[in-house]
Amino acid sequence: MNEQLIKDAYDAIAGTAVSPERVRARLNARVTAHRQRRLLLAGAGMATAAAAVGVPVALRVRRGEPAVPAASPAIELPPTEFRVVSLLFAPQWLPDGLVERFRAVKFDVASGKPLGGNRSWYPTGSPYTVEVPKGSVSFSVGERIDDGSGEPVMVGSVRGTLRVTDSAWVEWQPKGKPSMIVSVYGTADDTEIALRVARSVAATEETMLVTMDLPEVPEAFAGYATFEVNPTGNGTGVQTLGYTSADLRSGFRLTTEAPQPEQQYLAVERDGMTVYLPGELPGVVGDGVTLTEKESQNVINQVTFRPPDVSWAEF
Amino acid sequence: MTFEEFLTARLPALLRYATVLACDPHLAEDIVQEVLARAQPRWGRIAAADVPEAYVKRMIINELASWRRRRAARVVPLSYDALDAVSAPSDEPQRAVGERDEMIRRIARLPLKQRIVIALRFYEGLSDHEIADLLGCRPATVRSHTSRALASMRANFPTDFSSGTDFSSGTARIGG
Repeated sequence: MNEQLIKDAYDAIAGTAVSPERVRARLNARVTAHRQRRLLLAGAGMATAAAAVGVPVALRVRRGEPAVPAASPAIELPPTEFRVVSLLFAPQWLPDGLVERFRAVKFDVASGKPLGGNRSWYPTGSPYTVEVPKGSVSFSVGERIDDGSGEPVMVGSVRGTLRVTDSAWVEWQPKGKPSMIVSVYGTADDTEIALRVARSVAATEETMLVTMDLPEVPEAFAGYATFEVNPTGNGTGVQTLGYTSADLRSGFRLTTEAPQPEQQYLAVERDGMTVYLPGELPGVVGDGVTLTEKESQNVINQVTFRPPDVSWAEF
Repeated sequence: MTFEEFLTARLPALLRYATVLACDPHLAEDIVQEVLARAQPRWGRIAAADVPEAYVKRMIINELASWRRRRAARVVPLSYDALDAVSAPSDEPQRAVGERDEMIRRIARLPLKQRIVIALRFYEGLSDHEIADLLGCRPATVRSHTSRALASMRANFPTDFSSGTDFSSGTARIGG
């Protein structure tokens, strides 16, 4: 055994490295997915920290003290009948001791057709948090990881993929149905639980009440909408409604979550509730169109809302 | 240097570096992807450092240690698939190939810290002090890891493979 032998061994190991193109492709896919997620699901539950990066929106500059609304337009809005969106699928089995703590639905803006959504269950007693705590299960419909990693598993009669990182992820797509993902984090056996939850998924008649609405969505953003609610444990919750273009390159969101310090925003207050239209700084991936100032004003003036339905949430 | 320029110039080397440390190309791929995804949004600050590559390499080591903790029950260093991927050119003497593959197996079986130290020493060519700086430990600790790793690698090394200069006489040449 000599030094050259060790160096030869390392050269051989180094020679097994995957191609850089493959990693670049995964990175690009990840940036795209991150962007999609941020645009569609940005808000309390998913992307609070990421909110400072994104599509620039032409808004009047207001900084700090986000509880003070920027505008309280004296506009008479017609009574709104809020949209009800199907959750499409739901797990029929979950580990004991979990309660539902996050819901989101995605739908087509023009037709209202449900496209998917996300749900998360946390251990009973978990405090309100924007981070998923250990012991949690999440289920999403209509999302894909699709990065070529993982090992094959069977979900019923469908071939799926299992990935294990700090969580276990099971992804599958029944024929003619949207893709689905179950992820389990921080349990005694993430993989076994993820597989069991995934194999229990069936169609559901459960729905989600979308308690924010925008009657006229600027055309460039009228592709998909996502509405999410993150219950805060006091009978209400943070709600966010996001709109994106069909190519996911452009988007904006309306939220009841106060903006970050230094973040630009417009706001409207009605019946003791405030909804914000945050402006976001140009980010690392920012080639979409932006709301004009006029569009921004129209959006904040026209948004209708009421307190979210959190009857499904438990603490 | 922009993030794209950095990727173009250094991604292949980073992948080889991570593969050598992890002894598993697929784990290395995951780790490099994770590290770069986290580095990208704050690239301005990282690029402002004198040597951004060193910063990213440190991130890779930290990420590897983190993944090892999280996946300890599931990950077996250097899978058989990975070993199979280390194919020998056909004109390579069979005995040399056998020695090298045996060495790969021995490296892969080393505990993580020992494996990192040995890789930094023999693949990266770093000194004890440079490795200590990178790992945030004392040079004496590096020497200790090196010594133990070499002892493990040397133990019962098949005599059929013994060739060239044997350094079983001491670790001074290679272990510091």
